[in-house]
Amino acid sequence: MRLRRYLVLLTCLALLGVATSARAQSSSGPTADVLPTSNGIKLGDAMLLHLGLGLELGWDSNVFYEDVNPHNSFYLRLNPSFDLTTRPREMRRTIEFDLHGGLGYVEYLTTDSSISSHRQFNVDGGLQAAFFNNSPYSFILFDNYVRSTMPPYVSGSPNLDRDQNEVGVRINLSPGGGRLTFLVGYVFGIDYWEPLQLQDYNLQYHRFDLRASWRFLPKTAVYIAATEFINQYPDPGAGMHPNSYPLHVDAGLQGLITTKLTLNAWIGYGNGFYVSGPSPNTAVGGLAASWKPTILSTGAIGYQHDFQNSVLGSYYDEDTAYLSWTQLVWRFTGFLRFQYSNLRYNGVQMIQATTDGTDNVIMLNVRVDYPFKDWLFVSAGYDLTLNRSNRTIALGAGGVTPGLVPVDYTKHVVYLRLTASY
Amino acid sequence: MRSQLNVIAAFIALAGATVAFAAVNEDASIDFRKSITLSPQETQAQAKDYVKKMQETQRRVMQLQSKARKDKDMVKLNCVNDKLTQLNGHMVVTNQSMSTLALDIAKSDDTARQHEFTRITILYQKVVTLGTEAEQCIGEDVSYVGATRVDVEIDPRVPQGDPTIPDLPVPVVTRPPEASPFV
Repeated sequence: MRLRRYLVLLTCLALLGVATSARAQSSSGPTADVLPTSNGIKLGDAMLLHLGLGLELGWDSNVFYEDVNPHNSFYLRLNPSFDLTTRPREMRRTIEFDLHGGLGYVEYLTTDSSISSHRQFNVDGGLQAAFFNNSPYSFILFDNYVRSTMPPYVSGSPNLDRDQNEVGVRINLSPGGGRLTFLVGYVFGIDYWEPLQLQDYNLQYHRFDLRASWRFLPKTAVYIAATEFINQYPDPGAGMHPNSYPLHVDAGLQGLITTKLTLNAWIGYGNGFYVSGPSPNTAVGGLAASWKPTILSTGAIGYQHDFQNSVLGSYYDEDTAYLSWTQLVWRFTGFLRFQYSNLRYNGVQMIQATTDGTDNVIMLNVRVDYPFKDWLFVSAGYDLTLNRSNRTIALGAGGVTPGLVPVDYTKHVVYLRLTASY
Repeated sequence: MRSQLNVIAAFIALAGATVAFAAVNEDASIDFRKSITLSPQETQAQAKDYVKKMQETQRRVMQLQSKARKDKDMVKLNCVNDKLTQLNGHMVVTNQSMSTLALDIAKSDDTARQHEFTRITILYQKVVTLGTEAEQCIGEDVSYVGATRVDVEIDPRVPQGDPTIPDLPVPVVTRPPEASPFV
């Protein structure tokens, strides 16, 4: 028994060692939620290890999100990952533990060094421990880390390397029969930019959550929730991003309406409480519906009106709508998603070389999956990202003629991906 | 003459009813004569099967005794103890009969074998009855025919888990909009 524990610990350390040396921007690797429960490597009586590897070959039409004459390139993405869990999905334990780690390496397959030098190295990791799940009083400790690398808007500029970490706790109180549930949560987050010129936008934030819900049906509840953020920029520099204390208070309904229809509808009030410059003071609300008309089909539709803290300006008002459909035909799974976002930036400073304005971002994702085995499948997909904005950015330095350049872009990505997840 | 015919008819009817009653009785109880047709090996196998079932009943009654003791219910405990004492006595006799039966089979003494088998069969019946009575002592006679089993079929389209609880927050990775110094 002691040897078995030792082996488990050794495996954890080995995997952590790998994880800390390397990440995933768009986490296309498998996650614990989608892994087949029958797969996995048993490490002792209670631990299960899932391993995953994704290999993607694709073509990106616009590596640097340019308006005209975009740089395009083929790329290769590698996504190894692992999930260590004490929780076979069918049962609940008094203490549950989940650990996830993943890497994402992107190499541009081109001889053009102005593109290939922007290779990406992404990391994501998560740790979650849930205590007393079967009790009316339970809590969860969690920590999630993401290192993301994104190519800049101009070739030759450094990549937009960023480290984000959130550590938090959620306490769940469901006295009596569980009709009333109270959630109390706290999160401390860090958003750290690695390039020196971006460190004015380093952010530390605290998030406090309070939520009370009344379950009037077994899987349906009405709720009222309040969320308070404390956003602090410890190194304001020339960026001078204002600190803020955004507050959201929502009331809504969440859960099953019928066996086929799941709904989350909410409406509330939000105030940004920015210490300087413009500050939002508005109604917020949204709707997210999921419909499963047959066992082979799932549709989703949603809309959200809100505001978000932003690295550009102080914040942006947001209206986002999306529509998606998943269909299983024989052994093929088809996925289609369309999203439109209207983002209105406020409080943009002169140093950011642009003005307040509106971005209209459209995203389209199409994908078909085919499983060879329950642990091995191939995917082919197409992603469209498009921005039409009324903003322009003033560019030009070092001999280049200054000018106002639109921030519009159109980006097509086509890919073929092989994923193994055991 | 008519009275003589009536007497004959009554006699025939009585004889018929007697035969019918005997036939019904044969259905309701174990047919001991039938066992005559069993071979020595079949007799021994059948006897072992009876003993196995009797041991299961004995274990069940002991469980009931533990339950009554745990519940600190003296009325139930006394009742179960009484049944268990009788049952244990029958088990001792059964074990003796099993030994004798094996000996009779070895000696090819069919009459003695038949006698012991009949005795084991009667003991089996008595143990079964005691088991039922012990269940009734505890008031769980229903469980004697099997505990209630509830099969729940959930529509596979119904989402698993609790959809009323929001997900845990995770870091949101968004690309910064095009502006200085993000270019």
